[in-house]
Amino acid sequence: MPGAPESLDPIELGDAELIERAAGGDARALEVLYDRYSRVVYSFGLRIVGDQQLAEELLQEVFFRAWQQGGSFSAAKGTFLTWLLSITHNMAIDEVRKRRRRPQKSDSDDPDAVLAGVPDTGTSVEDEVWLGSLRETIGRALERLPWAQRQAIELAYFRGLTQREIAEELGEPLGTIKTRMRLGMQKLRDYLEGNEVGQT
Amino acid sequence: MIDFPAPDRGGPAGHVEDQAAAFALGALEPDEAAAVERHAAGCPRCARAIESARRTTAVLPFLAPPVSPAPDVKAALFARIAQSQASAPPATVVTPAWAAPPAPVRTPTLPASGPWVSSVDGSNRSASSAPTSRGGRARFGRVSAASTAAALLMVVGLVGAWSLGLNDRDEPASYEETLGAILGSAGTRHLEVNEHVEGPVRVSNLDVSVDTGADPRVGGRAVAQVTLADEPTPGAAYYIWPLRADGTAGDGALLKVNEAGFGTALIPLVGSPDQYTSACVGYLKQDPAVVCRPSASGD
Repeated sequence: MPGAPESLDPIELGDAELIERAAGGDARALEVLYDRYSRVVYSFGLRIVGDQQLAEELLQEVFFRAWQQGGSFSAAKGTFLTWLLSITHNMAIDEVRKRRRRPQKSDSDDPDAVLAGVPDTGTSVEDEVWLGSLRETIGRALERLPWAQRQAIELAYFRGLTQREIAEELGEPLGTIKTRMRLGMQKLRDYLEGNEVGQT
Repeated sequence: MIDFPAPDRGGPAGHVEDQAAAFALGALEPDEAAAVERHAAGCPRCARAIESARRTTAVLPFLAPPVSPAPDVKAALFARIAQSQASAPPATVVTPAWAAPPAPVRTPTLPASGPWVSSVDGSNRSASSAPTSRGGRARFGRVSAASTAAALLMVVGLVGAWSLGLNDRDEPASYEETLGAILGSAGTRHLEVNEHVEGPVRVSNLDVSVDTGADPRVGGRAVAQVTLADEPTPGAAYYIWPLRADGTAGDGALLKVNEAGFGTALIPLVGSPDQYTSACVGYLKQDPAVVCRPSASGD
C-alpha cells in the first residue's frame, strides 16, 4: 500500500507496506510483523529443529534477516508470510543438517515430544480459529496420502533429508522414493486446490 | 493444471518438471537443485511446475502445532536491531550470526599474553577502564556509582537510537520499556563483574542489572552489558549464561556485540534472581556445563 499516510498506525498496515517500512529502518513496522507472525515462525521452526532454545534463536534470526533483507521482498512473487516461512525453512533445515553432521545430544531429537511438552500462551481467538482450520485442512490432506508417500514428504520437508538420504534410511530404491514424493505432492496439491488452500 | 510427470515419462529431453516436487521440498542434492534452478530460469514450463510445487509446500509450515515463543525473544531481537541501528544503517548491517559459519569452539584456556594474564592468580584487580576479566566467566559484584552512570548512559544511547512510538499499546513490553523498568525499578540491584578466569570468550567488562521483581513467567530478568576483551569474531553468535553459586548455569541469552565488542543481552532468570551470582560468555550452542566450569584454581 505505497503512499499510506505516515500517521497511520502501523497495526493498520498490510504486510507488504510494513516490510517496506522496516527495510527503510522503521523498527516499529518490524515489530508489528513480529507480533503478527512470530508464533507461526516459532512453531514451524520448533517443528523442524525440535529444541526450544534453538527455535528461539531461529525465530530471532529469521526476523533479523527480514529486517536486513526486507528490501529484497517482492509482493509480486508471493505473500510476505510465504517469504518469511521460506527463510525459516531454509535456516532451520541448514541447522538440522549441520547437527546431523555433528551429532549432539539425542534428548531433543523427537520434535513431537518436544512440542507436546511446550505450553502455548498468548494466542488470539481469531488466530486460533484461522490456524486451526488451516491445520485441519492440511492434516486431512496428508492423512489421505498413503503412509509411504506422506513419510517421504515429511522426511524431506521437516527433517531436511534428500531423496538419496531417505532411500538410504528406509532401505528403499531411490526411484521408489522419487515416485512416492512426486505422487504424494501431486495428490496433496490436488486436495488442497480442491479446498482452495495453497496460497498463504 | 500442471502435473508432476513421472521421471521416465516426462516431457522433452532436458526438462526438469519431474524434479519439481523434490526441488520444492528441498530434497535434491545441491548439484541437482542447482541444475534444476538453471534450467527453470530459461524454461517457463518447468518454472510453472516448480511454482506449483512451491505453492503446495508453502502450506506445510502450518502443520506445526501452535506454540508461542518466550517474551524475551522479542526483547533480544529488538535490542539487536537497536544496536545495528546505532552502529550502521540497515543496508550495511553485519552478516547475521545464523547465516555465518559456525563460531569457532574455543577451549577455556587463557591467552599467553595480555593485561589479564597478570591476574590469573587472583591478584591485580584492574580498574573498570581496563580489562577486569580474563575469561568469559565473570562474577557479579557491587557496582560503583560511576559505572552505574556509564551503564545508564549506554542504555540511554541505545534507547535513543530506537525511536519508536510505543505508547498506547496493549502489547508485551518492548526492549526499551523492559530496560527502563529494570533500571528504574526500586527492586533493581545493580551489579557488575569483578573478574574471572575461565570461559570460551574473554570479557573485559560486564555490567549486570538484575530485576528482583518476580516475573510470573521467568522469575526475574537481567540486563547484561558486555565488552569483549578481544576483537569480536565476525559472524560469531555469542551467548551469555547466568551462573548460580554452585556453578550451574541458568537459561542463556543471545549476546549480540557490535564491531567495538560491546553488546547487551536480556537474560531470563528462572527462579529467584538472588541465586545467580556470576555469568559466563561463550558461543551459541555451546554447553555451559562444559565451557563455564569454575576455575581449577578456585574462585
